[in-house]
Order: sequence, then structure tokens, then C-alpha cells
Amino acid sequence: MAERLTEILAQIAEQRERFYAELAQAGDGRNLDQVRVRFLGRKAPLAQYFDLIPKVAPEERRLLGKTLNEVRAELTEALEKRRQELSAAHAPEEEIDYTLPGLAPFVGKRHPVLQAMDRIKEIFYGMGFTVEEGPEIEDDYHNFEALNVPPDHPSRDLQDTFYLDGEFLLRTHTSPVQIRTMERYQPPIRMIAPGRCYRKDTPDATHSPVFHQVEGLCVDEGVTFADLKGVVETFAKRLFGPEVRIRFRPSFFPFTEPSAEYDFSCMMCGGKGCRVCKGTGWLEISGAGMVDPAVFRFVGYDPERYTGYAFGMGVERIAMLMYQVDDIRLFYDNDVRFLQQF
Amino acid sequence: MKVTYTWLKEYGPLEVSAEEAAATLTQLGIEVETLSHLSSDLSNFVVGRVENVQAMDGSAGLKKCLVNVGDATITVVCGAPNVAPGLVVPVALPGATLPGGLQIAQRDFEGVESQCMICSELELGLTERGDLIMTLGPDARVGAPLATVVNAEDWIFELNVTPNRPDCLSVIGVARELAAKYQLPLTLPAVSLVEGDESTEERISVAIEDQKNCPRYSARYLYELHPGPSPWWLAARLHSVGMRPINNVVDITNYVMMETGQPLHAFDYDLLEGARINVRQASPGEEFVTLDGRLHQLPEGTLLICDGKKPVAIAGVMGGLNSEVSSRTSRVLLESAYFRPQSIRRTSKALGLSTESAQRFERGVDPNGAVYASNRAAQLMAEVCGAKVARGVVDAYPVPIEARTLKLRRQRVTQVLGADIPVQECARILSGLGSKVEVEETSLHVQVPTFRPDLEREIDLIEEIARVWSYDRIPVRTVAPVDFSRPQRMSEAVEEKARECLIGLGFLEACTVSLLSPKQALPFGDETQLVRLRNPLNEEYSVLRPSLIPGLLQVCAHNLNRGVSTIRAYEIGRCFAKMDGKYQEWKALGMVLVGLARPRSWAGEHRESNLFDLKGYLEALFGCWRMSEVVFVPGDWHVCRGGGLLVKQDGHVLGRAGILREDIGERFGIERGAVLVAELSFAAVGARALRPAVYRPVPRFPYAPRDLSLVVDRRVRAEELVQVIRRVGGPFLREVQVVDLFVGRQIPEGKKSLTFSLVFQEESRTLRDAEVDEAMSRIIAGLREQTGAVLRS
Repeated sequence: MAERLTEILAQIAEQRERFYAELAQAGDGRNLDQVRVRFLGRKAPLAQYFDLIPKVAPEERRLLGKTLNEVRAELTEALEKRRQELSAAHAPEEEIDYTLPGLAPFVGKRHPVLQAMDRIKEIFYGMGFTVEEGPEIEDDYHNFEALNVPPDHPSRDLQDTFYLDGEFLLRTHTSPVQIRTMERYQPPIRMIAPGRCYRKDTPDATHSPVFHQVEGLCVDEGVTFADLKGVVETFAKRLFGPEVRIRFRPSFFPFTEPSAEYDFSCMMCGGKGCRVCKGTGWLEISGAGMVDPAVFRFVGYDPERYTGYAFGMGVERIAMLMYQVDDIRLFYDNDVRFLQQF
Repeated sequence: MKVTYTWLKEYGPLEVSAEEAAATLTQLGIEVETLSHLSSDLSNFVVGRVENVQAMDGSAGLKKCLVNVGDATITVVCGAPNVAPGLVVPVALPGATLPGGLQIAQRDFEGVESQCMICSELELGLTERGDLIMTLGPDARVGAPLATVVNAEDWIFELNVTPNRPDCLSVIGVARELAAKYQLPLTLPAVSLVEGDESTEERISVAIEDQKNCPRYSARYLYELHPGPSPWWLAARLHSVGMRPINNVVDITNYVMMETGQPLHAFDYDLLEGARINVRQASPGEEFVTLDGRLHQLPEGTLLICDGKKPVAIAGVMGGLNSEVSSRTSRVLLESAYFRPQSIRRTSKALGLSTESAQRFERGVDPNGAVYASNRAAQLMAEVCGAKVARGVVDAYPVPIEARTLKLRRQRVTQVLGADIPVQECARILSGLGSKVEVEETSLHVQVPTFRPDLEREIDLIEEIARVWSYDRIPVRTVAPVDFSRPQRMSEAVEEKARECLIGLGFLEACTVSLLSPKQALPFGDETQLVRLRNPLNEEYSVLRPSLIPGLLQVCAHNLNRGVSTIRAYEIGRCFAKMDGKYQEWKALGMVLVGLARPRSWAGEHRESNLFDLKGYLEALFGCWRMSEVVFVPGDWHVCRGGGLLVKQDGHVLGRAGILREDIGERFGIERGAVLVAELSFAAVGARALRPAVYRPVPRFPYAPRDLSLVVDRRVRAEELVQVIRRVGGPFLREVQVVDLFVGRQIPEGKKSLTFSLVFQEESRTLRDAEVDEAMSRIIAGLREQTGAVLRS
């Protein structure tokens, strides 16, 4: 008798397949009615199989019954669904006002200064630099002394630096991270130190008591000023485009010798001179130079064996150039209508 | 510091244009901040001599003058009090245009035809002196174009000199830079003094009590001099570099200071007592009146120049009123000294007196240039003021400061610069800058001039070479060995993931000032732990933030005040505290949520964000960090209503969240309902976040969903019910979610209805209904027994 059951189940499956084939062909309600009669009507094969239930072995009745019920429910549902599809297809098209705006989600944005920071970090990662961090509350030794800044240097003035108790102060640059990194590791060093800095500047269009800096340092045997120029130039081109040129001008910092200021050719006017570059064709970016041997002595490196370069940059300055922002305070107001633009 | 193009050209045959010279100086590290061009059209100006002066009747001070202009003698009406026969003067002929724009033409004064105009220095744009007519020296040829005497054109360079270059606070110093660059000779003014009968030594003796701070003091005595206004060329020079002419004696000291960099001071000899100079430190409580009339309490250690009885100058900073040169002066003591830079810097700063003199001494003048400058000034005083110069100089210089000799290794130049600069080139550059250089096979021996105190080491010489050779010529190298063995920091990945997640959830990233007012900081930190600045800019920025929330509340206030009423922002940054005498800083994540839960739209729900929105965002964030089992329990954050919520994992506090108390919001000027805040510490989240994600197979068999609506006592928390469901739900229960909360009419008083959506699943097969039914029965029974919940009918 089990053989008989197997055969019935196979027939049911075949009916089911045929049903779907015809359903797909049915193009209107009349066709659908024909399909319904043929497969689900009282005379349809499926209905006849129900009559077989009492005739199979008692232990097989349950399986046959369940299968038939499931198939009937499934086909009924499929038929109904097809009917709805067909009626929707023939219904007159609903008038949709496609000029209604899309339903906007809230859109998050990274802060423009931190976007500039991200971009700077990304470029230096690509040139094999690691990212190092240090405390914002620094001590005099790391912020000044080990950077070869003499005790009576103007930058140590109460007018310029925020002091805490004892020898502590708010770092005025991220250069102390150089010292901390060199204290911890032996060369080669190839790092950048991004972070917040503090200077006692009254806020105005170009000054903020809190600002961000990225400091870079590379120390190894055979590192030269030519490498410094290579890194700064590559950075400039990756940040602002391949047509940007760089210029190094001699300058003075206690922790580098030779020291330089570096400028980028103005990306607004291509170096011809405009309002942004005040007619000079050049934009002052920041300072750089070869690490002063005195700094190496503070961290116990042999200045005869190792040479290195260091450079810095103000992130707000870069962001102002990237986005043509003309007032640094806009970055710290965090006006929603400002932040949403980036 | 200002210099002019014509002045620079006095020391060498500089042939480049002013523009090019300016560009070159900038490339040498003497930054030219501005270059201004002065030009006057002198085409109708000539040198004339006043032949005859006749007062005009009935006119206030007007005189009719006959002026010889070479090929003619013409009539000029002039009102200047100093016009007199014999004066050689600049004359503007008809057709001339004054630098101010005035056109000269014949003009009638009270019936007298004035054919041209005699000019003052002001009218020619040379100085501010406008009440007198300008007088030219007797050697100016009458009838010659004025342009042969006065420069029709000049350029003013405004320089930004770095603090290590005191030598460039002088015209000669700047000229030396250009001479070195262009390989030109530098010619210093030759000084030849005709000394008189009197001897300086008999007139003055010098004692230095504080030799440490005053290594050298030289004095010269000049007599029979005639103070008065400076001649036009001297006044014009000083005017062009921004100095005010005073009288010929003082102007000469200033002129020589601008020229050589050596500050000089002239005392009225007759006001000095005891015929002696003593250099000593101020005694405690000592007071002094400087020549600007101000009384100073002198700080201890102030170096004073004293005569036999009293102080007469604050050394290197400013002279005293008691010995100032005036129109009655006929004898002068001329000081030219070298003071220790640190001493002058301290005094100048303490007194708030940053004079031209102090600016030079505090950076370091040339100790061996004192007598040259003194002689140069004496010579000019002889020429200009008719002074007689006494024989000899009293020069107290007990321990002469000698020039340093440095060794420069050739290979070191290349090692630092990465450029191969020929040794002869190095030697030429250093000689051009004033050094004596001996070339050996592999090195140079360089004797550095004493006007360059900044050149102390080999590396300093390398900078000089690089600078003059030009940074532009150093090659660009873009190949480097990179050690990539050092690990990247994990903390950065955790922060980065948080940013990514919150940006995705529609939050704006804020960046606020980390300095706060105590009023705004205090509710968020322990008063004893606040980090206060010793020298704040103002009250508003006087403490370091103990939390990110105050900054974010400022952002809310800023935006709410401007009509922006929905704010969703976060900030990642450091917070600070002082604990047990030690400063601490840690990284935190702050979030703030105000206003609508979804942007306003034509189809959207207009619902305000609530605590569960915030909780949902935090849960999403923990999901991004792959942190599970994070719970929210009643907290003790007193800035929040009811203490807010503590966010914990395994009993470990990760942060806090809640609804801001209104009175706290008011401190920030926020006057509106729900401000939701949360703060997490990265130190606490730390290594708990971003544990490796391990793949679990995606189910291949269908799952069985069931909904379960319960009625339960209102005090029973959803979390308790979920825990019971999980505990008794059996091995196939995968998910439990609360999908509905209802309190209302059909629900008995004191009860609430909660609906849970449950999902059952078995990985290896399809579950049978009976299995699921059985689990549901267990759950329903368990809930009834443990929480009193019954099925909602």
C-alpha cells in the first residue's frame, strides 16, 4: 500500500506543477476561473485524492491529509495573489505627485577640522608614518626644555602659554609628542602627532585659544633636508592637487636647524596672486626643519649617527584653505547649518 | 624693522631691482613683509638760491623773495619764517606736481605775482616738518634738477627679523646678506676723526661694578657742539625708516644705531656729576625717571648707568630725564656699550619698555662693534653739529669677547642637507657673511664674527650655507626606507568605529573649545578636581572640561538661539581632572539629542526624541563595537532627572545617559523640554570593544515566530519578563523583542500590557509546531509563576 501512497504523492506534485504553469499563462479573470475549476474545483483531481484518504493505510492517512491540505491552501493563495496582480495591472494608474520631496533621513557629517585631520593622517599613513599621541597637559620639560627652547624664550611667556600648577602647562604645540616618542623608541622613527594645542590668544578671525596641529618627525641614518622637501611636496600635491608647488624659506625655531617656513602655491589662483594669498601667489603653511642636534642629546640619540626632520601644520589653517572658510571661530561655534555643509 | 633701498645701496654696488632684492631677502630668511614704493615726479623741481627777501606790507608774514634758479631769477611769495637770503632751497617751478597732488602755477598774492614755490620737507614728502622751508646743503648746485640731490624714488622694506638675527636689525647687516648672496663687496663707511685738544680721559672715568652684565662700556667726550634741527637728509632718512627726528645729536645716535645695529646714548655732559660713569645694579626700592617722563620702580637686578652721584640711564633701555640732551647742551658724553642680553631682556620686560635700543641689546649686539659705532657717530656730530671730538675713547672692556672658531666637516654638510655643495662654495658663502675661512682637505675652519652670536655650532654654519646657497636648490627626494613593524594603536580603531556608526545614525560631529567657565563646568565635575588655569584668558575659558557635555550644551544653546531646534551631535575628545594632586586626562564620547526624532516631512511622524531614542542609538553603537550584554540601570548622574542611567557591561561602568535637568540646561541658556545626553569613557569601553567578529552560520531552515501578549502588574519591568522568557524558553528560543506597550481602557487598573515577539529556531532542521507550542506553554507558565503575568485575552 506504501507504493500506492508514493504514487499519489507524485501525482499531487505533478498537479501542483501543472497548476503553476497554467497560472502563469492565465492573462485575465476568465482564464483564472478556468484554472480554478480545473485544479481546485469539486471535480478536479485534487478533490478526488481527498476521497482516497480513508482508503490508504491508517498510518499513512495523516501524511496524505496534511499534504493535500497544504497543497490546496498554497494553490488557493497563489491563485488569489495572481488575481490581485492582474486586477492591479488593469486598474487605472494612480496619480502620484512625484514632485513631493523624498523622505529625508538625518544625515551625519564629520566636523570639517577633523575631516581635514583625517585627510592629513591618511596621506601620511600612505607615506609610512605612524600616529602617536601625547597628553594635552604637558610639563615644561617636554613642551619647551627638551625642544631646546631656552628658559627666557618669548613663547614661554605667561602672555602666550596657559599654565597649571607646578611645572605643568597646556601644550602649545604637538612637538612634545616627538620627545615622548623618541624617549620610548630607538630610530628609525617615522611618525605624526595630531592633536589639540592651546595658546593664550584672544579669539578672532584667525586665532583660537584651542586649535589642532599635526607634527611630523622622521629620524634615521641618512635622513636629509632633501627628504623633508620630498615629504612636504608629496603631502602638498596629495592634499591640494598635483599642480601645487612648494617653497621653503629660511626661518628660526629652537628645535630645528636648519629651520624653514614652507609655503604652498595658492590653489585659488594657481600662484598668480589673489585675495586668498594676498596677492603673493603663496600661502604660508607652517614651519619645518632638520632636528637640532641639541634635541637629540635630550633624548639620548647620537646626533653624529642620526639625522632627522620635523614639520608642523595647523589643521584649522588647512581646513580653512580646503573649504574657503574665512573665520576660524565658525569651526568652534558648531552651528548645525555650518556643520551640515561638509 | 624698516630699511630703504637707497640706504642699502650705500654699502655696495647692489644692481638688482628693489623687488628682486625683496624676494632675495625673503629667500634668505629675512622676510620682507611689505615693500612700498615711494616715488615723486621731480621733473619741474630745481635747486634755487634765495637772493633777496622783502617783507610784504599788510600781509601776515608773507615775504617777497627773489630766487635764483640757475638760468633765471624769479619772484616767489613765501610765508616760512626761516626764509633768508643765501639759503639753498628746493623750488617747484610752474608745471610741477607736489607728491600730495598740488599743481604749481603762477599765483597772485596781494598784488605780487608768485611764479613758483619754495618747498618744505613735508611738501616734498620727505619728513613731517612742514612749518619751515627745506634747506639744502651749500654744495647743491644752483639750477640743477632737484632729482640730483633728493631721491625721486625709493622703496621701503618692512622686515620681519627672526630673534636669532640681531645683526639684521641694522642696514649694514641687511646689506651684508645681499652682498653675500650676490657675491658683492660690502663697504662700510670709512671713519676718519679729527680729534680736538681736549682728552676724553681727563673728562670722564668709567667703572663697571657689574662686569657680568656689562662686559664693555666705552665713552667719548664731545664739546662745543650746536644742537638744532637735523639737516634734511638725516631727518628724511630717519623718517623713511619710521623714526621721528628730534634734534641733530639724538638723530645721529639713532641714525648710527639703524646703520650699524649698535645703540648709542648721548648724555648732556654738564648734567653729569663727578666726571665719572659707574655701571651697577639697582638697589632695592630704587626709583628712576626715564626721558619720556615716566617714574619707574626699578626691579632688582636692573642695570643702571650712574654718574658720580645718581643714576642717569637704565642701561640699554632708556636714558634719564635728568641728563637729557637739549637745545642748551654744548658738551656730550657719548655712550657705546655691550650689555648682556638676558639682563636687558629681563629689565625691558619687567618695565614694559621695549625700545629700539632694548630690542637690539636683548638679542645681542656686536661687543666688538662698540667703538666703530661711537667713532662713526662722533664724526657725524662733528660734521652736522659742529662738535669738537676729544682725543681718545675711554673703553672699559676688561675681558674682550673673542671670535669663535668652528670646524665644519664637508661630509656633514651633505649628511644634513642631502645636497652636494662644493667646498669652495661653502667657503665663499661663509666669507661673504663676514667669517674668516681656512679651507682644508675635508673640512673648513671658520672664525665667526662676533656680530653673529647665533653661530655657535657646526650645524649653525650648515644652515648659513643652505640659506645662502638657497633652499630651492636642495633636491627633492621621495624615496625612503620605511620600518613598518610598529603596531597601530587599537584605541584609534575603536574611536573610528564610533564615528562611523554615529555619522551613519545621522549625528553631526562637534568640535568644541575644551576650556570652560567654572559655572558651566562645575555640575559635571567635582569642584576639588577641576583643572584651573593659573593665567586664564578670561573667566569663560578658565577651567579644563571635566566632561564633554558642557561643550555640547553650548552647541545646543548656540543653535536653539538661532532657531535651529533639532540638534543631534557628538564629540570625541579629552576630559580632565586633578586627582590626588595628579593631573588626569581621558578620552570620552559625548552625545546630545534635542528636538525631532525624524526630520519634518509631509509623511513623517512629528515626534520629539525621547530617552529611548538615545538608548537605541547607544545600543546601536554597542552593536557596532560588537559589545553584547550591555545594560542600563538607574544611575547617580545628578545633572540628569532622577540620576539618569548607568551603562554597564559585566558590572563594569561604561558611561552614563539621561534627560538633562532643566536647571542645568538653564545655566547654558537652554529653556526647553527634553535634552538627552550621554557620555561614555573610551578607557572603560577600551578593549571590550571590537573583539573579533566570529562567523555564525546563517540559518538554512525556516524559523517559527510567535507573538505573546501579556497583562502584568505595572511595576514589573520589561527586563525581568525578558529574563524569565529567556530562562525558561528552552534551547530553540533565539530572539525576544518587546514590540508593544499598552496601558489603557481595556487593561485593568495598575496593570499594563506588553507584547513580545519571539523567534524559535533550530539550525539543523525545521521545528515542529508541537515543539514550539510546548516552549510557549513553558514560557507562559514560567511568567505566571515568577511575575504574575497572564495572557491578554
